Amino acid sequence: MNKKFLLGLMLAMFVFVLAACGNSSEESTESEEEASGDEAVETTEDASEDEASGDKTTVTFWHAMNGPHQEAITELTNNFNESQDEFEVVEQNQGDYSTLNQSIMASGVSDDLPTLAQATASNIPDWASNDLIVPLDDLLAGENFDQEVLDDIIPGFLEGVSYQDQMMAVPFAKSVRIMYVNDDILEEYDAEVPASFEDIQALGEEMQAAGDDRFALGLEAGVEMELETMARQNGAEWISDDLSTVDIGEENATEPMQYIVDGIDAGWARTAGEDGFMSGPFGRGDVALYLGSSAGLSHVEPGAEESGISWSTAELPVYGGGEPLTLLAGNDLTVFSSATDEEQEGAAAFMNFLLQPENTAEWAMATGYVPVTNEGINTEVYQTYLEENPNAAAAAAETEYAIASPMFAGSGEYRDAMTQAQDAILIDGAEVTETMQNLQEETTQIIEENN
Amino acid sequence: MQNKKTWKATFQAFWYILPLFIIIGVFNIYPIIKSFAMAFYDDFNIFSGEIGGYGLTNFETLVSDEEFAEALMNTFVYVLFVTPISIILALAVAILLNNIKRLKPIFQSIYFLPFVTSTVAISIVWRWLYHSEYGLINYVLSLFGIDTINWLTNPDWAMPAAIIMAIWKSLGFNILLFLVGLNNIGKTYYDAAKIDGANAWQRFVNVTVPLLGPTIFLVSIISIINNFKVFDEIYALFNGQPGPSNSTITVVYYLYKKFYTEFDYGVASASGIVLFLIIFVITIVQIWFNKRFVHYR
Repeated sequence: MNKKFLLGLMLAMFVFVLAACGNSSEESTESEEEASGDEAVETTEDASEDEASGDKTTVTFWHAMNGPHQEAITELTNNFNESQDEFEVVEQNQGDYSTLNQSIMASGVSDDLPTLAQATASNIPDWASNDLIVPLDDLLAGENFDQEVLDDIIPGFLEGVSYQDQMMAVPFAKSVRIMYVNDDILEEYDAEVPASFEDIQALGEEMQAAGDDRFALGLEAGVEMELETMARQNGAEWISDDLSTVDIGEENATEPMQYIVDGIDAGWARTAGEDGFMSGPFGRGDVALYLGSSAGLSHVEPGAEESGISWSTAELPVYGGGEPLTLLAGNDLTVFSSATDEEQEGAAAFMNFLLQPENTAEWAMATGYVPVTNEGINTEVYQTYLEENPNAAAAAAETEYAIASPMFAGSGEYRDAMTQAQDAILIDGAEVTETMQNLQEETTQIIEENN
Repeated sequence: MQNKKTWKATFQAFWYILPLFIIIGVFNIYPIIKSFAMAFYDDFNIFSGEIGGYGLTNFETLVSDEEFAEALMNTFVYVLFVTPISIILALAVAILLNNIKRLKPIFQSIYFLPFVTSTVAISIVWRWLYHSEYGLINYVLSLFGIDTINWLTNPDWAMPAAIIMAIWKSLGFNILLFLVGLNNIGKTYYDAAKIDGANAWQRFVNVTVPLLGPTIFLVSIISIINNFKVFDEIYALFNGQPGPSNSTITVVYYLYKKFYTEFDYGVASASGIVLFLIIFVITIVQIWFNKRFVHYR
């Protein structure tokens, strides 16, 4: 009897242990990039710890920047540390975005958070409602942050960091959607760079008539950014800033979705699908126009160079004769409430440093993000850079009309619902209006339940 | 060395296992207990530790969630295909390997390579193999006049794509275990069978398979447990998505999604418990089967 019980217990343990461990590799996407990034961290970390001495307040900064982006952040951090003797910033790479989020979730539970960290818009409401991060209005009004810098931040960027009328983050690594243009294909068809989605359709139809099996329009695997952009250009609110209106299922929003569906069905538009990102097919010369993030420049370059296509960038086209508009993406800097007042002051000083015109310009040049202040865009170095790198100009020009989608709790759930609706339409052939109306209902419900 | 079972000896032994026990306790046992408890919390706030109440709400959510039913279904399909096919292929390869005299270590290493390579790296390679325009697999199929298959973007083909990759990946480890098992079968059994006039197939069915029983049992238990936990393969093969149109969502993927993107910690824990119970019951059935039918020398 006793033996059987023991055997059963051992069996239970065996299954437990086998079932519980062994999932260690699940978080490592893009492992190469990460691995090289991690190595670099260790060295910088050691170095900065050695330097940290005496009365300096140590400010820990978690980020998810890898490769050249990480080098840029390390350099800026070192420059900051050299520039003054009150604070010492220790930057720590946490891997990619999802690993960073997981680290923050875990350390939020164990009360071991850094002073400041990069955050995407989908995290901020959740962290804010759990009081993990502090509203920055008072901190930035203090002595360690310049009022001119604050006033100079591009308005659309500021909107994107306010949650429930409080400033919850400082804009930092911001990107917009731009259009990558394959000049060879356009030249073949004697076409101008399209200014509207109607022009793109015309180009697509012309290419089809000529028996060309390349695509006029290439979109990322998830089309939600383009769809929201087109719908907003077309007069839809999508999700209004005060969250009171959701019109995802109304005509202004379903029209552009129908446009995408028709383009794919007709064969002149495609999504990245199995290629993961459209930068691959665009680089191979398979698509004429690619709508994607300005931060993808560095991914487009090598592919295009290899296949020898000539390409350029342009501002996003407009749908339905509306106003030009682009949505902001990227990430911001948040300060955690667990940090001491001194550490928070240090974070303010560091953010102030990062937003100085030369620094935000330098950051933009090294990474492909856009400068977050007007002064930054107007610096001589950045203007010279734009002259030498005309491909970066489109993104900089778009900052004038870039806007941010509102932040709300439950946005992760909304995004999952959005992806499912999009898959249902584009893959399973579900009816556009009905599916989008259901999505509208679901979104309204998610917003009501969480906010 | 004293062999008597005394309290003193037990107490001494306790010190030897203490270090490992602490590690397992911190990293396995405590999280297991905690996640069991979390499954019964309502409105759990993970940061403040506040619990809204206790109950079965999370399990009710699971039962009424169509997506979870789909995840269960997909997981079962995955296990039912990957486990037997992988075991049969691995056994066949192991027997062939066992019969060649030269170069055996080289082939053994080649077959073992997939097991030591990271799933993410493997998936990147397979994404190219499966590519509809540039993929090798579709090219080979086209030689036989078969139309292009959209392995990664067609919901009907996504699961087969994941299954094929998983079988290939799991072969190495299973082959290794089978080779060890085969080496343990004495040559005398085969000699005796030959004298009795048994042909190769008869020797396989009547000597190899029964004597390999314990190994087959071990491999099948490990494979089934591992395959029920499938996550990496799906996540990496479909670029962080659960397949086109959610077509390859599995229980662990569902758990991951509930926890990390929807912050629904209770439901995530509850789905983990359901998966644990399924694995537990199946393992018990396997053990019963083992006792009844597998011969140990």
